[in-house]
Amino acid sequence: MDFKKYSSLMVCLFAVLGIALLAVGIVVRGDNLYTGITYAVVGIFQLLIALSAIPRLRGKDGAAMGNVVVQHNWWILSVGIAGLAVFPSRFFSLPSAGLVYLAVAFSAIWVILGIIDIYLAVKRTGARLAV
Amino acid sequence: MAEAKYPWKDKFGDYALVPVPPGERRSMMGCFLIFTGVLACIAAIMGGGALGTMFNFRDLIIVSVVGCAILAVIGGLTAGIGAISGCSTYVNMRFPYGRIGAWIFGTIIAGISCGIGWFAVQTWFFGIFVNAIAPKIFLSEIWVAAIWGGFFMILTAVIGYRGLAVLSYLTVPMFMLLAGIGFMVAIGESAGGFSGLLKIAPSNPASFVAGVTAVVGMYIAGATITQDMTRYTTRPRDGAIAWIIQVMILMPYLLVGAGAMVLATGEANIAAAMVAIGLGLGAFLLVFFGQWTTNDNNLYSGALSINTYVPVKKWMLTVTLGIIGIALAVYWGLAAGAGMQPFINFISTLGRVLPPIAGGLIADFYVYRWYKGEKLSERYKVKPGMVIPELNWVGIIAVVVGAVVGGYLITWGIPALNALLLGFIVYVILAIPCDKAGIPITIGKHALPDTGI
Repeated sequence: MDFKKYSSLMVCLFAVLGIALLAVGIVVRGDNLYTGITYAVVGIFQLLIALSAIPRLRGKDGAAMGNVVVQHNWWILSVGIAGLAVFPSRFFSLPSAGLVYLAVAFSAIWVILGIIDIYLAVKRTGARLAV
Repeated sequence: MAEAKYPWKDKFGDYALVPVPPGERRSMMGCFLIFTGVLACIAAIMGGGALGTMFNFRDLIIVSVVGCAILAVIGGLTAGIGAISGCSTYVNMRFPYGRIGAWIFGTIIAGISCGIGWFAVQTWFFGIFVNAIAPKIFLSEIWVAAIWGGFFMILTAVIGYRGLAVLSYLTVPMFMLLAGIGFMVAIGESAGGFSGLLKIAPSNPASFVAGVTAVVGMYIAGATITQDMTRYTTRPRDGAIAWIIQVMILMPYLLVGAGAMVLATGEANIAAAMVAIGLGLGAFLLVFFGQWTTNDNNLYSGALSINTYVPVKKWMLTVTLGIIGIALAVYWGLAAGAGMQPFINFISTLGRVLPPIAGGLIADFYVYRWYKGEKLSERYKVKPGMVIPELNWVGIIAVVVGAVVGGYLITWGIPALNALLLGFIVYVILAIPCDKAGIPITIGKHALPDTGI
C-alpha cells in the first residue's frame, strides 16, 4: 500500500481508538471516577495527537511526510506505554474486567502500531528518527 | 544559487566546537521536547513539593508563574543566541568572556555543575527512587541502580543530540501523563481531597521572594545553557519559542501539581505515593525515564563545555564524566548519603554564581553588538581563521561583581535575578564607555582553526 494512504489510515484508526477510550471513560466514571478520568484523558490525548497530524500531513510527500508520521507516532507510542503501565493496576479496576482488558488492548495497539509506523516511515520515506 | 560549502571540520563529534550545519538542524518540536525532557524529572517534582510546604494553593500558583516568567525571559534570550550562531554555550561565551574566560565559566556552569555535580546527584536520586519502589531486589540496591541507570544515561549522551531527541520524544508525553495521574490520585485520596485543597495552610510559610528565588534557582543553570540545544534549531526564533512554551506551561504544571500534592498529603515523593496505591510500574517508568532524560542532558552539556579545551572526541569525555558521576553516586549510595551537605551547599552557591554569566552574555549579544552596529543575524557567527580574544576583562568583572554583589551582598530582592541584572548592567556600563574612549576590552588574540578549538 502507498505509504501516504497507509499513514492516513493509521491516523484514522488512532483517532477512532481515542474516541472509543474516551467513551469508555465516560461510561465507567460512576464505577471508578479515577479510572474514568484516566481513560478519558488518555483517549483525548491520543485523539488530539491523531487529529493534529491530519493538517500537518496534507500536501507533504516523501521524507517531509515521514518526519510528521515519526513525530506523531512517537507520541502515540509514549502515551500508549503510559496506558499499558497504569490501566492493569488494581487501583483502576472496574466491576467489568472486560472494559479494563479493552483499555489495555487499545494501549497495546497504540504501542505496537506506533513502533511499526515509525519503522516504516524511516525505512520507506527516509524520515529521521529524531526530527 | 549554490549553497556555500561548510567550511568547518567536526573533529570532536556532535559539532561540539563548530556551528551546526544547516542540513543538520532540527524542528522546534524536537528542541521543545528535549527541553521538556530536562525539566521532566523527579527533582522538579520534589522542588514543587518544597513549595507546597511554603505556600497555600493560590500563592503557590502565583509564585510558580512569576518564577517561571523570569526563567522564560532569561532562557528565551539565551536560546535566541544559540539559534542564531549555531554554536554551543561555551563557544558563544568566547565573545563576552574570551577564550580562557569561556573555559573557566563553561567549566563552572556545565563541566562541574551539570557534567559531574548534577549528573552524580541525579544518578544517586535514581538509585534512591528505584530502591524505594522495589526495596528487596539486588538490582534496586541504591548503588547497583546507580550503576545501571547511569549506564543508560551515558548511552544517549554519547549518541548526542539525536539520542537526547529520540528519548525525549518517547518519554515526555508519558512522563507528563503519569505525573498528572500521580498528582490526581494522591490529592484525591488524601483526607481533604480536591475540595479541601484551597483551605489548607502551608506547614512552613515563606515570603514571596523566597518562593520566586527557589523557582528561579531550580532551573537557572538550564536557562543559561539553552544554546546547547537551540543551536540545532532551523529558524532563529524556534529555540526561544520552544523554551518559553515549556517553561511557562509545563514547569508550572509540575510545580503546582507537586505543591498541591504536598499541601494535601504532606508527602513529596510522588513515586512513593503511586507505589502505595499499586501503581508501581507507572512509578518506575516515571522515575526511570524522568531521571534518564534529565541526566543525559546534564552529561551532554558537561562534556560539551570541557571539549572546548580538552581536544579529544566528545564521546570519550562523556564516558569519562559519566563514570566519575556514577562513582560518586555509588559512593553516596554505599555511604548512605554521608558527606552530602557540603555538596548541596556548593550546588546552591552555583545558583548565585551562574546568573551573571548569562547576564554578561545577554548584554554582549543584544546590547553591545547592537551598539557596535552588527546585524542580529550576523552576531556570534564564527568563521575559520577568525580572531577571537583570549580574555575579555569587562566580562570577567561583570560576572564577579554580579555574583558577589548581586548574589551575596544585596539583601533584598531575588539573589539570582539581582546577580543576573548586575552582570548585565556592569557589562554594558563598562563595555560601551571603554569602546567610546578607545580602551580595548579584550586581551590577547587567538585565530580559530577549522576545527574550532
